[in-house]
Amino acid sequence: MGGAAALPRAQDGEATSPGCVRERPLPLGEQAQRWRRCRLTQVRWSRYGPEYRDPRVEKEHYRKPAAELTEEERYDRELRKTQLIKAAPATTTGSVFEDPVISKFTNMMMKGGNKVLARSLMTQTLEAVKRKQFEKYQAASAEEQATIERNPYVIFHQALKNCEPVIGLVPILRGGHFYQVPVPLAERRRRFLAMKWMITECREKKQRRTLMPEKLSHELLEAFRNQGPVIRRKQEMHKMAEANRALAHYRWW
Amino acid sequence: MAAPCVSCCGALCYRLFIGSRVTLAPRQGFWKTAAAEFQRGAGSQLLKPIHTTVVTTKKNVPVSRHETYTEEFIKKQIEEFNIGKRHLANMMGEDPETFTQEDIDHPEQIFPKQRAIQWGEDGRPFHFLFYTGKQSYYALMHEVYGKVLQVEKHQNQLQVKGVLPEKTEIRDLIGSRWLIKEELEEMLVEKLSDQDYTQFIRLLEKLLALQCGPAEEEFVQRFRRRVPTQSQQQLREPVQYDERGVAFSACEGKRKSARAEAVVYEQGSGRITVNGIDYLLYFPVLQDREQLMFPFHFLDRLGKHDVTCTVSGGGRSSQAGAIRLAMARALCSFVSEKEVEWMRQETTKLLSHRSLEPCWWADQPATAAWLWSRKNWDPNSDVQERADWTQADGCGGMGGHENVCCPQRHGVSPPEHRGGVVSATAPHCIRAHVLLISIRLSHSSSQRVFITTTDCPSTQVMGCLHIPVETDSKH
Repeated sequence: MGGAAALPRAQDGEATSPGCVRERPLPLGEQAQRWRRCRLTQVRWSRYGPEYRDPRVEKEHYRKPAAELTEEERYDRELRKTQLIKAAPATTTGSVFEDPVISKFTNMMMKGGNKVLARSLMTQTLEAVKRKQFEKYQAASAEEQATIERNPYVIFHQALKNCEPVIGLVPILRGGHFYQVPVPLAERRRRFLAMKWMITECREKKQRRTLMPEKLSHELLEAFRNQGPVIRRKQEMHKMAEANRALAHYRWW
Repeated sequence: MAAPCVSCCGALCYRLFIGSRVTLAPRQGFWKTAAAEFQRGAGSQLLKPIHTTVVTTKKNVPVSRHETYTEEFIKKQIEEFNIGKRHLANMMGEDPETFTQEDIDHPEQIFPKQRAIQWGEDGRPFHFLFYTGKQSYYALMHEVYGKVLQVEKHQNQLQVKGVLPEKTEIRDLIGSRWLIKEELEEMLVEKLSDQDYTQFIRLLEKLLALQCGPAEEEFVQRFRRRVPTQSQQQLREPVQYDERGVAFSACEGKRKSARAEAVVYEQGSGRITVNGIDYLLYFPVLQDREQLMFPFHFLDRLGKHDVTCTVSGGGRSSQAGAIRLAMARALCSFVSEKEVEWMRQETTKLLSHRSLEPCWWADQPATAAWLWSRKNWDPNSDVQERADWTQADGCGGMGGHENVCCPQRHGVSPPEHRGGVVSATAPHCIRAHVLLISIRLSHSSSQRVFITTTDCPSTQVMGCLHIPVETDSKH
């Protein structure tokens, strides 16, 4: 696993085994042929056993001197020394610019594994948001300037938070009929619904020639002000839940 | 007669070399039941008369009887093994004092610990808990509970006197773990159920929770095993020096099918060259460059090292991941132990890599089921031919890992077995038609396939085949 010296080196044209480092990369056709013979598949389950723990990426956590740690943190650190830990995924970088909400949103926007496109759309959206707010800032008077928010990340987070529904509807089968029963939603379900509504809204309800960043930035700004179609959808969901409150006792969990 | 175990061939070859007249197997025929000699030892070493069964060489008799061996016999075997080992060391020119070889089976492994007969000539059992069925287990529970009561009584006495019990420090329970069920079974030479095991551990934890003295501590430590600190398993590549005297460190890394080798120079200004091309041109996507930056950023060493790497295979993301792993490993040589541990905890980008699973089920031959057809049926034949079953060579499809293992303890899969096949030769190898019946997919990194035999009237699980899943070789 660790020692580099032990691993054999393959010359070009030789069959490689895992762990063997090739001197020069194979020509493209040759590699493709080997791929076809190889037949790898995507695995849906995790390659890690249950004893593996998730990694922690924030480096400040490790830089804290021992004196500042609480009992719990000290115990946790000691414990982790003996535990096996998974490798960090390719999306985590530990950089200050990394935002988990933005990453999640980018992944949801992604189609067909085209992360490059999704990420560029995201950055263009944030840029568009910033530009619009900056124009407004320039055009506004001194008192209004204090109220205008220009940080696109803050706008993004606030907009999604405003779009999160508090209560949801779940179809429950009773007596051969499905009833829409109001049910409190978990935190992650709420976040997911907010993002999902935002993305569907932007994909379906836009004019033919508008690009995604433009539409998305417009929707985000409206949601930030508690206006717009996504907020309306959330409010409709709440109204329906209110209307169906008589069925609330159908819920058993 | 044929040796009962093929796997003691290691021991056998000593004998053949030396030519000493040693019988490996118990003699044919019956042991004379000697008068029982009782030797009160530590409680578990009692000499008792042993009855063995006759072992024949008939072909159709399955060789699955339980052979029992006296402790005398085993001791004698151990002595002869050691003498044989010294002879072999002499022959090979090695020093007999320090001669070890991993593939020579030690007699303790060939003749597993077995229970002696538990009753005397008059038929009365020796142990007072014999009729519970699990005498060692219940005896142990009894002992532990006795200790718990003792400690509680002691504490009550102290409380009555008004003396506060001394607060002992919290023991370091992190570096050790409880015995697992299989280890406990091995210790007691008894089969246990899961509930038995959980009860036992709970009782021990209860004992630990009370403030017990050093004697009880020592007793409890017998049931704990050390857990290694993971960072010590990380090898640190030694620092090398090139012709200009600049220190560098070279390491390899892989991710999916990409293989990378990175050479990290100690002095530098943060330039990274990949396959002779600058990293900015080789990785136009920002995400890949962030991956390259990751190890340096984590250790606050951005812009302090120069890196030259070569990479091949995989796609752009896996190449970036492979280089990241290689760089992180190379950086270990310039960095303190503590930081190595941080890196490991943070990501184990040092130790592991992620890969796809090869499509092993696609290459298997279609196992033809037995199909009855009137055309092939002879109404006058009395014997139903079992050869209707095709020899489903289920193992063949697995690509060369064809060793049928002897029944092993499945619970523990130590890290060193993960990468390869656990291939022990089966002591009771039958030429049987092997039928692949089930594949149990588990979260562990090796797949287990249960192999049954159709020769016996009832299907028995003969053993299991460990298939390593990390290899991406073509099969």
